[in-house]
Amino acid sequence: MEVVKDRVAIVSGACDAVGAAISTRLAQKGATVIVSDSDPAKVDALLEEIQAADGKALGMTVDAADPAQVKAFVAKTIADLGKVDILVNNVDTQNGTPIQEVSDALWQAGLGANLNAVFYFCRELVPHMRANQYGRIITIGNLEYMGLPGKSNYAAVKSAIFGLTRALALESARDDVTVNCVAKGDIASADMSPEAIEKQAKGIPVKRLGTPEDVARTVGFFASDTSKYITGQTFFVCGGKSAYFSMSI
Amino acid sequence: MGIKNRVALITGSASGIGKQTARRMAENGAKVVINDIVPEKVEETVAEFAAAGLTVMGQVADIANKASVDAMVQAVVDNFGSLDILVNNAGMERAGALRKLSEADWDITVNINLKGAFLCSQAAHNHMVPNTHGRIINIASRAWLGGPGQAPYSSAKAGVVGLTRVLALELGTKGVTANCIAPGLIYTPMWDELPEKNQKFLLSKQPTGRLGETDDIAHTIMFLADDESGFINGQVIYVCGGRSLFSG
Repeated sequence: MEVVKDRVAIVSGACDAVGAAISTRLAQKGATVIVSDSDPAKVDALLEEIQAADGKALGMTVDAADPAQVKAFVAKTIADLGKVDILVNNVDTQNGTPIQEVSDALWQAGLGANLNAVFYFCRELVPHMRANQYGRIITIGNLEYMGLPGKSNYAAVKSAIFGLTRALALESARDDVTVNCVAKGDIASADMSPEAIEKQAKGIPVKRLGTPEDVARTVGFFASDTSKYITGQTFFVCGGKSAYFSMSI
Repeated sequence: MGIKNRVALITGSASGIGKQTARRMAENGAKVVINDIVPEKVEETVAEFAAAGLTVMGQVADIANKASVDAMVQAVVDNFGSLDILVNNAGMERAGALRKLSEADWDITVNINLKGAFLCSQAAHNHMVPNTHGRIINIASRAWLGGPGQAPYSSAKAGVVGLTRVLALELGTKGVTANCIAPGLIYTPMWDELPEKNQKFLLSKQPTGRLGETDDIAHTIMFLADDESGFINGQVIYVCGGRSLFSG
């Protein structure tokens, strides 16, 4: 079971189902969680939920694709709480589209939401964590980075997480700062019909879809004090579906 | 939840990573089976764990021998009622330049590291599938990526990675997951026996600049062995301080 007690954790893109599960899990295990997202109403709702379960959490409305906002947010968090120990980059805009329909605007939006946002947070926090001689950075990737037809723009930005993770891991390895990627597979969402879930489950070796909690407990594992010797990895939470892809080890 | 009351067989668990994993799993409520090929080592470890109040049994077996493995697994099920978690940990290495390696070096390395994992998985899955629950965790090595002088060991461990993916695809539909841990440099008493020159060379290639601990592997095994890890299947996780980013 993960050890994150009294750690300060920032979760970006915290208000989707996976982000909410990660934030809730870290708070339940004793971390102080700063949930950040672009919609103030959603941030407030998640905050209330975590606090109602006696978790320690703060909320912040941030456009993660805006470097000035990210910089100010991180600076304020460090000023208020003294440190940031854990960063979970959960920003995830799934906008995969056949290439002939990918406009410049759609391409740039995906780059901003899925990659720039990760870069901005890492740029602020890697030096801080290295100076503190402690840090756990987990970026949420997607199995689809392996390349699926009709989703080239999404695969391209999610692929970039792979190299970013490895480079930052090597830059930080001597400072007890680990950098890893948790690549999620097919996760059931509230808006899916039972038929759609059943159909999708057939393509997964364990014959079921994942839950946001499956991702959250894996993030907890990488965020733990005890995972200090694991860095630079991309780890799939996918029920074994990654074994259908040749470059997944 | 967790691994409480689960029956865990950890091969090669009378020393090193295997022993520490057995200890941690027992402390977390699992019923553990200590295995080694040397009877005295099994007896000693079982006595030590039993004295600490842990639920434990011992099984002397040669994991490269099918009859020996089958008898071990049957004894576990007879004694504890099931076999829920298998950690294929037992391993050994014969290293050397290609021209110096004998056929015997190849055979024993491949038999212990790869055939052993196959035989134990085969015997264990017979008991896991009817329960629609099982966790197979293979201990490979970062060295499967290939290193000079490691022909038998790298090959055998690469085989373990392939075996893991096959087990994941074959057994995943039946509630049994299979995953693989690839440790890098981990401190065990064997490290102290290395010449200082070799230690310095190995550490110079280590991104963290330090060795891992047996607990680093034990914690990872327990994460994968957990009842709640059912959606994690067919994966290889390196516990190596970033060393896997380079081969050789």
